[in-house]
Amino acid sequence: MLELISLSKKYGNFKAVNNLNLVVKEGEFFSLLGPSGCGKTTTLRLIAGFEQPTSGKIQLNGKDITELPPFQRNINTVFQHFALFPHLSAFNNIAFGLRIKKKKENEIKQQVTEMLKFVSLEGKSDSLPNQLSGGQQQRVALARALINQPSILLLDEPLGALDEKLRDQMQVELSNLQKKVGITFIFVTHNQEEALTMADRIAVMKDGTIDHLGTPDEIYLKPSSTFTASFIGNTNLFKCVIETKTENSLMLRTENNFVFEKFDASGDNIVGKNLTISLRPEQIRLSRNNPHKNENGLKGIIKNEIFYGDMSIFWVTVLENIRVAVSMQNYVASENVSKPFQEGEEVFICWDKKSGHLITE
Amino acid sequence: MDTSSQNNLLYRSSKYYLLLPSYFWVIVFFILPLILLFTISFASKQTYGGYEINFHLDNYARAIDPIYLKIAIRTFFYSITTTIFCFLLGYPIAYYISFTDGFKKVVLMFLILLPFWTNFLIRVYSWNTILGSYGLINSSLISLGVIDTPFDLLNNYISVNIGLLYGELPYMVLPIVASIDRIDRSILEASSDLGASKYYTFFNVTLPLSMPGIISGVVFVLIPTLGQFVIPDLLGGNDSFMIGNIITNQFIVVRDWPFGSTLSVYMMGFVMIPLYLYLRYSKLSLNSVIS
Repeated sequence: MLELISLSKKYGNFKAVNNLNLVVKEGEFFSLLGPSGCGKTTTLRLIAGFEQPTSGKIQLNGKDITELPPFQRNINTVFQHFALFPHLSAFNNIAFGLRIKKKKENEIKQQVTEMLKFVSLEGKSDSLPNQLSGGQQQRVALARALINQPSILLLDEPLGALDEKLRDQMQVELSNLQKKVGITFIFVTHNQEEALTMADRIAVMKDGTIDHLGTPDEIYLKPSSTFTASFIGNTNLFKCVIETKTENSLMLRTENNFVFEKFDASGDNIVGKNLTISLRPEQIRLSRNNPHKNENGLKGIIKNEIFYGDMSIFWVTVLENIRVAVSMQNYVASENVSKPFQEGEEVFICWDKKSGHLITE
Repeated sequence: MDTSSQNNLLYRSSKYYLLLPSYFWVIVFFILPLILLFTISFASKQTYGGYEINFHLDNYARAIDPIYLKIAIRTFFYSITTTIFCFLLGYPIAYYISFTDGFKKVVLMFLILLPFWTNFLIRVYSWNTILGSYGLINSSLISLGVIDTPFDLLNNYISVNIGLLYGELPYMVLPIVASIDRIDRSILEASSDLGASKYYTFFNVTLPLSMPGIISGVVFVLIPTLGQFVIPDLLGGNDSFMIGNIITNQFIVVRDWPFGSTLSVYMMGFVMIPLYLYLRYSKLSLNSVIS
């Protein structure tokens, strides 16, 4: 278990990490997610010991490791650009940690060979890093760290240097690998897709602190802030105020005086309270007909269709100047993609009255 | 299509025309003098300093006389010790410079380059005022009461070595700074992350990765030192002549151009050995380091 207690790191007046509190459980695949400059990499470097915190404590399994240099922490890192030793073969890169521990040479040989097999790099043991592909270098970097059996493995945007196809493949490989070895992974990324697909829990970071901590589902479906809501995936945010309230429904009025109903709203909602509603593009549908009884509806004009192949995003202008994104799967029956809606068409956007997540800030 | 391929041809040949000035430069100032030197080395000296080209090997036979061999060995010895001392002193300096940053690094680099702004002769000559019997070192030691009679620091083996070390040190420091600068700092962090102490990281990561710089530094120091003649002239005594002194002597004092040329050809041949090793090894190490 890793605990970060009121951790802060200042560079001059800039607070890179600001009073951060976090507990990462044993064996967890944990992700620190955020835009560049949010402090996620600094947090990682504090955990690894490359930086010293300005204040606060880091505890690993109950032991204070704040003051320990990197080489005395039972934590290993996979670096952003792998940082393999360019003068050493794959074998010697992986054996590096064991050689420091002065293991016997036959023991090293056996363990490294096993490790090479584990990351499917048999036959590459004599290759220098620049003779390996990006994915292979990545696996050497992983093997080099894992062979030391660290309590925690830190990964600093390890997929950032790979091309997209390989990245998708490595996402699956990484999470399988983590399940197999059972070591706690802390994964830093700015790519929300990577975090959502791999992590058990995600900490969304903003301005050096955690904005929202939760499972991928929670973070996507019930973001606690508009920042998290818009950072993870796409969403439509509307500021509104509570107009009236009944037992399980609220009437909400937007800034442009559009009033709609919201069912099943949790939390203490008093009349007059300001809220933001987050509606995901996939929670809205387009229709040429009036909305159903259980739906809210708004008339608008399709301004753009952005074609992604398997799906399309429609940008619809409603209430004169509000742009709403609506996603729709493309049904491909033959070679011709059937396009159900045209740009410039007048449509209704409809969403279920239960849909939408309310954010109080 | 036709015109475009014509244009292409024109473009390609024009690239070679652009290279002409550099060809001219290399031929006139490098290859021709070398051919001349090589030809003269087979000539005979004439009474009043001229020479007659009559292709014989007498000069080459004369040059392996023990007198010259002794001086050649001494030159080699001086070069080796200078290179070793330059490395031992230069590497820590380069390491320190490379790991400082900002303004301090600029200042340190400036200090390394600063001496180049003063004439080399004057800089070397000024060591007289430091090493002489009444120089800085001896007079301070005497006034402090450490010694009664001054040390013999000038015009001997010591002063030549100090002079060579002083003159060649920047050529060792600069390429090593460049090669340490080129090491990705995250590689050093990775080493520490994997459990290596600073000491272990230095000998197993930093030092091997700065090898290209070390090799360049060794070549940049070793080769000019082999041809050095100013320092032994100004700081040396009777017994610190180097092969460079003999060669300049043949050309300027004795006016035996053929024999001077022969010694030069020998020396060039000798310099080729470390140069060849450098090119071979640096290609290897460059391949493994640049990724």
